[in-house]
This record gives sequence, structure tokens and C-alpha cells, in this order.
Amino acid sequence: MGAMFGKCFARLRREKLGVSLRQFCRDHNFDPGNISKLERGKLPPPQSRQKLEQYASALGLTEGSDEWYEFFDTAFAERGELPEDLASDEALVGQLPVLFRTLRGDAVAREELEELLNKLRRA
Amino acid sequence: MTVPTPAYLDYEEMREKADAFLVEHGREGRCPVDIEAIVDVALGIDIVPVSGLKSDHDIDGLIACDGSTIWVDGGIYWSDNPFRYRFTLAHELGHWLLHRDLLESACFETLDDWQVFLDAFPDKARSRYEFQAYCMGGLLLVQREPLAEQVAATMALAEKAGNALDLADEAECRLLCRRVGRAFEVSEGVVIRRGRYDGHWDF
Repeated sequence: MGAMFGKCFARLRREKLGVSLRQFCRDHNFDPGNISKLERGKLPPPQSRQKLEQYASALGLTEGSDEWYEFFDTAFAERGELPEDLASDEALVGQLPVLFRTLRGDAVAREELEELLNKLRRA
Repeated sequence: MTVPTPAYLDYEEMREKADAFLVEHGREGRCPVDIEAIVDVALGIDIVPVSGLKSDHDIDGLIACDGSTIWVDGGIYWSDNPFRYRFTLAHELGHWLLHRDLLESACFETLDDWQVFLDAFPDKARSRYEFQAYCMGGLLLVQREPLAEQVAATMALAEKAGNALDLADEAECRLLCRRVGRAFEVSEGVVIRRGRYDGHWDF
């Protein structure tokens, strides 16, 4: 569901370029929200070859290199698949935050927790 | 369910942990500390913007109990001023460095479990966890030696310009903290508190 492509993307950005996602997006005029979703498998790899080449170039991949093939092979294997939705809920429940300063200091209402969870799910 | 009880940590213990972490990541003596690169690139933690976290829930940031993700309020994430964003990352990283046991023990299977846990979380314990993470955030972003150097350099600069600063005067001290804060890319408030703990001023 785009997860392998996202992991490949994030690994190349972190290990090959050594830059943060926001810096990477600033350098190449990409939208950080979309790239973040791409890396986390919440968006499928782009359909367009041109867009993939743009990403590959931004990641510093040399055409014909092993990394280049890995990047494109993973993208082609996963593109067109629907991003995770319900399945990712299970993962999200396993990540739920427990340390936050306040939900305005009151007892935590169920509705507010659900609203918070929905926000995290959509992010 | 076990009631969360934060360990008592004095400021110097937290400083030691922060300094050790920064040494481990080759950031000792840095001004500013590139906290985003540490979190994202070195630790591989996803930093995810979330719209309405602050406005709807009064939350700046959250760390996932498995340490995989830091969610940051969208307004803070997208802001042109990086100070609050940087401090939010440092604060959440502070939780991970100090409270990892609690976080990892609190991974739930259902929303009901999550709510029961949060409802039973004593306010006093929560405040202490937050205070510790708050201190840790400041210690990660503003280390002792670089702070002393920046304070001395700013004092010298002001004196050279014929406007010597009196750190016993709160207004003049705030002026200095604002300037030093720009060097560390943190707010005046963070510098005030860090400088107070390091004995540069009293207020």
C-alpha cells in the first residue's frame, strides 16, 4: 500500500542526502505535507514517470544505478494501490500519545479524544 | 493499571542526559542545535503536521508511544518563525529521552484502554512529566558553554557600542535574552529560564 516505496524514499532522503523532510522540500519546492504522506505510505507513489524522475533526481539518484532501479521498481509495484485507511487505524492505535500537557486540563471527553484521533489519522 | 509515577530528576541530572545525547550525536557546543535534523534524519522519527492541534485541543506537539512519530500543530509547523517548532521538537524528544519507559509501556489496543489510562493519569504526575520535558527541551537547544559564550559576547558588544547592559535590570536582561535567543533560534523565554538555571541572572 505504498509503504515500501515510502520507506525507500525516506531512507534515501535520510541516509543518502542527510536532510530533514522540510529542508528537502524547501530545496526542491515540494509540499512537505504530501511528501510526509508519501513517506508514511499514506499516499501511493505517483503515476507519472516524470514526477518519479523529479523525485529521483531530487534524491540524488543516478540513472541506471541500483538505487535508481530500486526506487522505480518499488514505485511501479505499488502505484495505483489505494493508500492505507482502515488498516492504518490499527497501527495508529498502537502509537497513541499519552504525554500531552492538556486537553484544557479537564477530564478527557470521549468526543475530544475521537476528534484528536481523527486529526492524527488524517495527518 | 499502574499509576504513572515520574522519577524525581534534578536539573543537573537532566543536563547530564541532554549533554550525553548531544555528544552522542556530535552536537556538543553547537549554537544553534539543528534539532530537526537530529529528530528526522539521525533518529528517523517522522515529523507530521496536524491541522487544528493547537486551536482545537491546545496541544503544540505529541510523541507516539512507540517513538516513531512526532505530530506537530500545523500552525507551528508551517510558521515562518521556527522557534516554537524547534522547541516543540525538543520538548517531545525530551519525553522520549526521559520517559521512554512510560511511553513504551503505554501502547494500547483499543481507544477505551487509551481513555481509561488518560482518565487515571494524575494531574500532579502529568505536570511533572511535562516540566521535565520542558527543562529537557531547553537543555537540548541551549547548552551551558555556548550560552555563557553568547551572553559574554552580547555584553561585550553592547559595552563596545556604549550601551553596557546591567543584568540585574530585568528590562535590559530581557533585551539580551532576545538577542541571544536569535542566535540559538529559541524564544526569549527559553533563554531567560536557561540563564536563570545557569546562574546568569535571578529573575
